[in-house]
Amino acid sequence: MWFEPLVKYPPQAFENGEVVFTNVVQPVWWLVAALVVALLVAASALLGLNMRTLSPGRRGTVALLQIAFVVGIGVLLAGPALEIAMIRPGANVVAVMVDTSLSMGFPAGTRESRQSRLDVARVVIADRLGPTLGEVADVVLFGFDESVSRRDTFDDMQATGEQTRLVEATANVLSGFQREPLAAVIVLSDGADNVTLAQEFAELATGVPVHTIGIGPLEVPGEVRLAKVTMPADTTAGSQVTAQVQIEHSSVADGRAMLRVRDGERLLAALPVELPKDASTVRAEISFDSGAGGIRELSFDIEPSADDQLEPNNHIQRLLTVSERRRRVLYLEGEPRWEYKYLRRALARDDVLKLVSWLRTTERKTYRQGVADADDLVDGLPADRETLYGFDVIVLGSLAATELTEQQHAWLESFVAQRGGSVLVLAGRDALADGGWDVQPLADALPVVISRESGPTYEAVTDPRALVQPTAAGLVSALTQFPHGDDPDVWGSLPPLGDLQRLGEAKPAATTLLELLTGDNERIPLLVTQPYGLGTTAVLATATTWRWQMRTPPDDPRHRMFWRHLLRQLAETAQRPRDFQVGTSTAGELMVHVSTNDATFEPTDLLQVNARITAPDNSETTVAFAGGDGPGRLVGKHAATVPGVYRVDVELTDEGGVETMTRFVRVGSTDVEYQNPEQNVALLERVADATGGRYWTPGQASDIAEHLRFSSSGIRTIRLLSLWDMPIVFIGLLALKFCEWLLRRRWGRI
Amino acid sequence: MRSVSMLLLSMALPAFAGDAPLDLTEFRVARVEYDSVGGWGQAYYGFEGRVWDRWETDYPQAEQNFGRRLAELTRIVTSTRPERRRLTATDLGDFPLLFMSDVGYMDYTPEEVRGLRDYLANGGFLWADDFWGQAEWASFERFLRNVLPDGQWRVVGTDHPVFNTVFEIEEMPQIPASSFASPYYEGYTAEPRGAHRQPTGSLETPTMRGYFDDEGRLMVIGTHNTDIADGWEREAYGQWYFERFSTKSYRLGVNVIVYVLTH
Repeated sequence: MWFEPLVKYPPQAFENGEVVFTNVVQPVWWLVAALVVALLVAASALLGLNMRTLSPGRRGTVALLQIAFVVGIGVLLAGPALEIAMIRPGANVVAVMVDTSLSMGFPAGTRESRQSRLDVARVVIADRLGPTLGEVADVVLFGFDESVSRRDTFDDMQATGEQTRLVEATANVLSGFQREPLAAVIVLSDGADNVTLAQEFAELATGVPVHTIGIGPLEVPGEVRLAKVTMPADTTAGSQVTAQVQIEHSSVADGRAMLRVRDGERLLAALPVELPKDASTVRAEISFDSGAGGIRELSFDIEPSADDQLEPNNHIQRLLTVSERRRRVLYLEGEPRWEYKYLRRALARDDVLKLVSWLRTTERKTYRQGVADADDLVDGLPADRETLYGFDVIVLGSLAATELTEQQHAWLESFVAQRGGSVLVLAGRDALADGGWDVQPLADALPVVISRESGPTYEAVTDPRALVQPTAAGLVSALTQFPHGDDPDVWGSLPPLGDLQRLGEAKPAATTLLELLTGDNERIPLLVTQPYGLGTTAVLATATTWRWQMRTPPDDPRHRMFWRHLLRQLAETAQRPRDFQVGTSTAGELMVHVSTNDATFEPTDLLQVNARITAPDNSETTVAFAGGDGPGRLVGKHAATVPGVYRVDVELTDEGGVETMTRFVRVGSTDVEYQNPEQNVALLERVADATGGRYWTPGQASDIAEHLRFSSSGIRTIRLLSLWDMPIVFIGLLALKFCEWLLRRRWGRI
Repeated sequence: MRSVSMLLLSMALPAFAGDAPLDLTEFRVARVEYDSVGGWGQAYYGFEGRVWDRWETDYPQAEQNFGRRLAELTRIVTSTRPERRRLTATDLGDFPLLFMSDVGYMDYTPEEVRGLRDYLANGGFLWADDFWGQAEWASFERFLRNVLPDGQWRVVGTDHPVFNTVFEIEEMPQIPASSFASPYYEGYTAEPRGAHRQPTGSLETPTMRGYFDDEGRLMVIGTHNTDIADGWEREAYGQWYFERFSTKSYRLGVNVIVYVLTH
């Protein structure tokens, strides 16, 4: 610091030391005497003949300057000194830790700089820390990334660690020196810790200061990176998968980048993304076909810009398990109409959805399609709950509530709430309140209030300007994000609808995804949805989407894609009676959660669970299970030490029989190291603050050794540092007398 | 002569319904308006004091009567407002079921062929009725060969679902035009050879002939050697005609409509 020559000692000496007076036992009497002398001097200044003609203010100023001078002399005569504990040279240890994770292989500064961050760390140690640190303490070297290890030299260090556990590694070093005089820990890192949880910082508070030396650029202009990809871990074959992608960039001008999804070499989807210069975070959604059953190792790639410095963070890998299980949709319709025909056609040959439909054709006759045998759905809605719960989605057309028994109405509500299925209600003369649904249990689950007080709500629409428009929520909702090629006006170019069901007020949890925009600019809710219990309900206030098929060119897929996508997404929330999920804990463990229910989705006791985990190196392990958070729930753990894709096979045995299921999960993804190319100053400062240490730049590293002499940890001795001979004291006294002389001369009193 | 007949025709027909907006919440069928080849007795003919073009045979009374019966017999919400469209109409898609009658002398343009081809590819359905004998079938088949070059017609047997969607129909009915029907000859229902295009071949066996799409669904049917729509139009011709013919026409009509609405 610039002021250190004036005060002789570094700031931490004054922070940690205590001022004492060494020349007297009771320095207070000296101070009293100095005060008396000062008062006499002041009286002389105020009352002396030479001063009488000055104004009172000027006389007071002179008096104050003289008093300050006398007091200063008095303090010096008392022998001021700084009593401070300093580490004993040669008796302590300083641990120096160097980050060896992958991110330390990135450029240390600009793109032109060929020096890596690890190279900079070596230079800092060799040229700035090394020459001075040895005079203060013995130096012990460590390298760390996902683990920490002691090193004899830095020469053989490589930036290869796939994760960085900076806080955990520091805590391990601190705990390893409990029996040795550790004066301080010095960490050289870019701060790219990608594992630490907030609570781990508490482990650093051992009294030993941790000093951090930040390496790497604070800003990387022009950098574009994929920050986050959110998508389901599993889906059904042939379904549309929608992934939410977060892109971060530091572009200096508006730009555009192409986002792509690949399965190996095969391109699944591409989407141009605008990168405005005033928005560093951009979110986009991209949809693609899941393909056939199996495991997909998907690569999300953002096209690098010309200024992009770090190519590896333009990719994120994700695993997608695609099952062949088909989702079952039950469509109940109260009158033959075109919507029924074209909805069935839209789902024909669908690999994911299996449609079963029941249609009342006459007052006494029904027509069933897609049923397994002649007795299926003879009475409309299934006569038992098990059969009803075998479906994932129920579509209710223009169906009077009287078609169902009281018991079936109750099941319909619990189908959503308890089973986790979805119910979609279409418009029609007998739909919603017009069909008497306002007094049924399902009314509680629907996303809109339905009431028959205002009369019939179903009407024809003849306005050719009435078009469908997505709301802001609809633009990003997975329910309405069906693939539509390159047409930017996917909704506005659809033929106008021909009917409408006026809906009641949307409930608090409801979301309107589509609206009917009339020629008079009236916006009428068209597709409204809400979560209810474990499932979802939705109302589509039209039954003339068939026009989207019949009034468009034959190769226009939008009607088909709309229905397939909507029903597949509604089916995604449906639970399976017996299922399991696999995740990873922060400790790197595989967590296997098993749940079993009977056909009515009541929890059942498992008789036996067998789970086998196959690691990337093909080693197999059997998992032991313990009780979970409720009946029919079990949890198993497995320490996943090898990074890569794990296969988990679970065999469940209960009174319902034996079922075998398989899932895949990736452990130890390498892409986390590439996420943030900038130096994470905030983390490094936080580590230093939590321990009483300090954050340093590489240029300041040569001052650390001097700073460590006053460290609060290690073996220390008490020393008195004289303060009376600080240059700033003499400069101050001279300044006082110079000011007095200057004033007197100006006022004509010299 | 042709222009005079068209003038008379325009006076006799109801106003063009396309002027009024359609209520798409109701079921309706559009009658296909087409040109025919030939002159008097071929492209047009006289009957009951007025001149009829071939396409308008039984129109609009057949559709109106059938609409009422359809609403009575089923839960289909039906419009009785008659509609007619050429195959080049821009709103053809608003009528997923087209009905044609008396197609034995049909003439067509490339635009009409393309219009029907797109319509069928979208999922539309065509029902052609009231054409008898070999020559009239060949005329219609020639038209469909242009529309569906890869298509091949097949006889639709009574074991096909279209014969049991609502009613169990065990036999393809033969419905003669009312002027050729007699209460005294119950066993013979074919129309006379002289009333149809030559050579007629046999007129005695009524069949439903169909074109199927890739999913095995019917998309075009031709009710050959029978006049189903006359059974609708002439339901009040007499009690014997209603009981013997109209009931069969309605049963088949209801079955076809429900099939089209479900496939």
